[in-house]
Amino acid sequence: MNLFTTILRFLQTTKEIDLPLFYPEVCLVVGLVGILFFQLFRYVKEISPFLLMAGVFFIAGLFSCFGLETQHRTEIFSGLLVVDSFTCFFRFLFSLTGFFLSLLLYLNNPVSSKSAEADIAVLLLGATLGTFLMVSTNHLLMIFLSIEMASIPSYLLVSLRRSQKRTSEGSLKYAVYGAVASGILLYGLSLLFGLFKTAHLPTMANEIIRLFPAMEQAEIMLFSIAGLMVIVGLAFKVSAFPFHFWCPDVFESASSEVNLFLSISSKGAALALFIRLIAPFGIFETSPEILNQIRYFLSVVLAVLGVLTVTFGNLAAYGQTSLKRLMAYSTIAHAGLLLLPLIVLLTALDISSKELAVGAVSSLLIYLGIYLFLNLGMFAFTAAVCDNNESANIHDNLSGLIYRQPTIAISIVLILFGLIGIPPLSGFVAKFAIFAALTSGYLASGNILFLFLLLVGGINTVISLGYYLYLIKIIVWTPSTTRPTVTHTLTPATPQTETIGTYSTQQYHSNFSRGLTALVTLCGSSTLILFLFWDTIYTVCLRAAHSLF
Amino acid sequence: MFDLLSQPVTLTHYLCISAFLFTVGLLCMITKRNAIGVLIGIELVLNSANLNFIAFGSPYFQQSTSGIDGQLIALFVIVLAASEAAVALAITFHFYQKYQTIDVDQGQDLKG
Amino acid sequence: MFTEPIYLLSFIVFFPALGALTVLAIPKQNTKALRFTTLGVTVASLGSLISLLVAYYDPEMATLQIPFSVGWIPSFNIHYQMGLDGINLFLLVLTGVIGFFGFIASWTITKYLKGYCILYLLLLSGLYGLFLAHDFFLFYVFWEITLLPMYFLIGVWGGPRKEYAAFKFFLFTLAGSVCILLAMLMLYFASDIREIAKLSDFDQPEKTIAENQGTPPLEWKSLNIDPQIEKKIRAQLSVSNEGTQATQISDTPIHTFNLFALAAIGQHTTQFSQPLLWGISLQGWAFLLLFVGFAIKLPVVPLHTWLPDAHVEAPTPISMILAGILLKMGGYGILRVCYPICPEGALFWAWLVCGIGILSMFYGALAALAQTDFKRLVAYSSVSHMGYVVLGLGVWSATAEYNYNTEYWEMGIQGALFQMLAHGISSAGMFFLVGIVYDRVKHRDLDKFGGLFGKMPRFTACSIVIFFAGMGLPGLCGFIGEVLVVLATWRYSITLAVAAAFVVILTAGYILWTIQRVYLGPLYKGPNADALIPLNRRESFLCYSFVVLVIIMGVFPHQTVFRYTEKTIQRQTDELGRWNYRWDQLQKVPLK
Repeated sequence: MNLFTTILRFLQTTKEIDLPLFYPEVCLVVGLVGILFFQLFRYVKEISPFLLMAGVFFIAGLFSCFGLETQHRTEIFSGLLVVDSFTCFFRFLFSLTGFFLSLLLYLNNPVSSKSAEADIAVLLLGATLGTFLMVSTNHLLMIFLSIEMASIPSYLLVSLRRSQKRTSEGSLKYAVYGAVASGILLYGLSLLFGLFKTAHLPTMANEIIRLFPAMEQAEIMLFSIAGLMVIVGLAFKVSAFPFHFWCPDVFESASSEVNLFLSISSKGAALALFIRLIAPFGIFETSPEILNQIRYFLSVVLAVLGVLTVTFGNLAAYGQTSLKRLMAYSTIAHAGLLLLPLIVLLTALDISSKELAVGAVSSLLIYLGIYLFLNLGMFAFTAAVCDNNESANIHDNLSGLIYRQPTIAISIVLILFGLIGIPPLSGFVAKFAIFAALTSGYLASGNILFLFLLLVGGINTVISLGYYLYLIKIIVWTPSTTRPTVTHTLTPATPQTETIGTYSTQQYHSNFSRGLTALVTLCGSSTLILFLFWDTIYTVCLRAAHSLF
Repeated sequence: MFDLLSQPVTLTHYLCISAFLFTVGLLCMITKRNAIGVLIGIELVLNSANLNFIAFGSPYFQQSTSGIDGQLIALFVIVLAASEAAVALAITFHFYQKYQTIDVDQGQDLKG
Repeated sequence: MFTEPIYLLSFIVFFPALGALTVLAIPKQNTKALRFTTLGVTVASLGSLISLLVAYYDPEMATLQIPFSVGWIPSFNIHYQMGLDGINLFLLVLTGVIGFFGFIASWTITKYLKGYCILYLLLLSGLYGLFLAHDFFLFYVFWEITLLPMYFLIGVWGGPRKEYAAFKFFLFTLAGSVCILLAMLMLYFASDIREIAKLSDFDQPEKTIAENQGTPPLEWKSLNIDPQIEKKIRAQLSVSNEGTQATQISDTPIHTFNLFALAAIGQHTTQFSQPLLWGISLQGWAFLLLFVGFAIKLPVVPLHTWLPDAHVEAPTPISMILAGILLKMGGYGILRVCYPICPEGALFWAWLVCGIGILSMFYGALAALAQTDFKRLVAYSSVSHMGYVVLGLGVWSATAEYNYNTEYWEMGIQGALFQMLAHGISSAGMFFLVGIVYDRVKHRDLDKFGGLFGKMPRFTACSIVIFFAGMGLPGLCGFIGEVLVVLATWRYSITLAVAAAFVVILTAGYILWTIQRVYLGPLYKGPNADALIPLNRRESFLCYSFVVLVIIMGVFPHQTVFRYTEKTIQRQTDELGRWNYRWDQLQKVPLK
């Protein structure tokens, strides 16, 4: 009888509190299963799985919209997950990414068979489900579970591309390195679990405050090793400097749509998880000075990671001949810049300034939101050009683009200027927000570190100018190359293969369907529109950041 | 060391074994060039962490506030390790089809 | 309704951009329509600007005229905010004039004409916006907007090494703008607009006019603060005055990007005086960063290397715009942003500013002497002339030593402003003249010229007048600026004044030598001698217009320029002089 009422009460809370906040995830799961089942029926089978997926993401995005402004911090499923505006923001962002991703996949189909299409749809939905859980993690189990849920489908997504030798190499490297990173992460988590005897993150923060002053030297050592192991696991997902090596290889071998997923959803979710791990240390009023040492340790680690990542990414992008590889280094550099607000967040918790913390988090959020559209444009372009020509060579794909495809060329030039971060384009807003967070961090705390970070950010803006302008130069004033773009043969299933080998502008023309042109143009014009109206987005970001503290 | 051997089994014994397993797994991942060998290393690392979770979560060794969290995490990790191994093996197979080898050092097409 | 300031000034700014949209709709084969539409837009924007000034500008007013301020990004207190005063007035007119002249000079452009017209008009929009903007963020946005069209205009329509030149231009300017961005953010986050409102003499016109010997006081209107923010601050202050609900005031500072509010904060409060690094205050660093950012654009000597390359590679009309307007962005920035906002930094770094000014003057003149490329020579003469601008702005002689007398410094700033305008006209003219020669003989090698006088007499006559204007001959526009700057420098430091005067001799040296090498001597026998035909109607119209402008500005400097600018400059120097007085008081008697 007792057990029965417990179960009943449990079911009731699940139904009344947990599930309504879990609708976006539920929606993804239903869509995932639905797409799998639809393959069994003859008539439904005719609908493109990508369109179905777009619908699923659209509905998931709608559900996430509801909590965007007002959702207070609520723990669901007995503390495993937490839902607040921050969660909703990321759910919405990832749904948006997924939606555009589905459109892109639909417009530019990277696989030849229908069943492979369904596979991609299912894997993408599953990986997005993983990222949804990553941003709402509140428990050690969920950290590992969600990271794996996002990673394992990604390994497969990388390998799902028209038969190419390199693809298998890229996915094998990704899978092996990814598994190593998650193994190290898990060991770190197990040590944390042992040290503080709890797996619930806020409780753990409480325990740290309680136990840390009395810890022995060996225990502190163990604690920092465990912390470093967790950081390694997350840094791998963010592709921060010493753990970035998978990124260029995977980006080169995977299809552009998957690159978009990896650069926005996967990295964004890992950054959100970073914030979820850091934020609990600030929500307690009681003697936060005890944690200064930990925060100092963390901010030094993050500063080293961030500075090395952004500088390395920008420097390594020079001398790349493959557009996709260059974009991989560009995303590494941007990820490095995105690590910097986390240091401001740590400092804000140090001096318990809520305003500063909110500013830091919202700068990261608006950066991701704007970066989505910039990357979407770039990867839609590489999908149409590089993937279909089976060559990502910069010169072959970009030279003289302005004469062949003026609309697309102008959009891409705008996007590239946006990636540098020049007004009046949206990329500037992102950069401005990050720099603003760093400056306010400096003025609030007086820590010289921030001046150094500002300097690094400024110098890197100038460094990045070189390779983005190089691309622009090729687009605008290098005449088209005349040599054939493809040297090896493809599977004869696709119609494009017949013209391959005899290069002509006709062939390039056929790659840009009207839909793709519209998508790239949308992204190009969004750089201007988002710049004019960024207050609206920033307000949403502020709300999301507010709900954390 | 001898102390540990003569004492009754405590948490420390489990931690030592787990640390040993972790090191062996890590070394295995670093030194093996055969993809299957690397996967074995990964399994060792995951299982060493599992051992930690179970040992830390066990009420027999220390006063724990974590309920059955440790054991539950271990169960989930086992499932995930299995799925991860399945995916990694599938990818390895794919690699084998293309390169006729599972020596990971042979994949040298991606550079720069 | 459409006579509201916001519509008037937005029209000035965005009219060329709308024109660019119109051009976009014209098919690219129809070159005639493209050219005449663009020309029409430049004429119309100049015309509407001048009629606006005639209708609304009051030269007796020292404060901002036809101002407006509308919220744009409330989360960062960024406003869409513009206005006219004596400092930006003539730079706007200069933009209109050179924009018009430049497009007449563009008649020879045939390559991708449509793209050229669109970028040209967008560039003009950016320039108008830059000079009108009074919100630091908006100013920065327009600052960078001018960069993008310029990059393509040099890079696509330029000479043989255009890619290198365009990249170098972009790289240097972006490095400068990063400096400006950092300084801007520091000032923004250190500012709190409520502190001005708490000042005792704030918003009390009767009291302060008497105290300040008639100059206008600090008030809401003169700061051009958004009414909503004003209301917010008033509400907070009234609460705190009652004292009862003091706990309810939020202690979140209200930061601002408003240039006038920032200036008031810099001059009247100590918010920017907090020490930042190595014993130098925030103001000191902000001044240095801003100065470096603006100086790259100006350019001054160690940072000038992009300029000769950009000028040599750019097509003639773009060189005219570059020399005529874009270089003035730097001088305008220093005058509008650096000095009012960071007086402490300005005083601290005054020696650096003056030293760099003198260095640029010398180096530019000496480098011009050494050139064999005609266009490069004119480019280096620009560097030398911009040195006068920096020197004129930097001679802060309103110190305790001279009883805070601002008369001489004011003269220096007026001279610098006049020098900017005069150089805008004369150097654009010089580049146009070089372009005419280059179009005909297809080379610019000074050693192969000589004797153009015989082939093109009218052209030579115009050239000599314009080059003499650049040299600073009395009666022509170049003289006024130089002489005022040298006189103002005398009060600051006699050594510097002597050095500055010596540069005049060097200038005369390279100008006269150039005239001798190019125009005088035996009849031209170099390459393409047959192509040296007299000026056509289009070219002679421009040449005569330049000559007329140069003479009018040189003979009637007061009636054309100073009458409209002196009140604003006087006000600014007075304020800075009074700041210096307060600052010295503060240094001698430290506050508790």
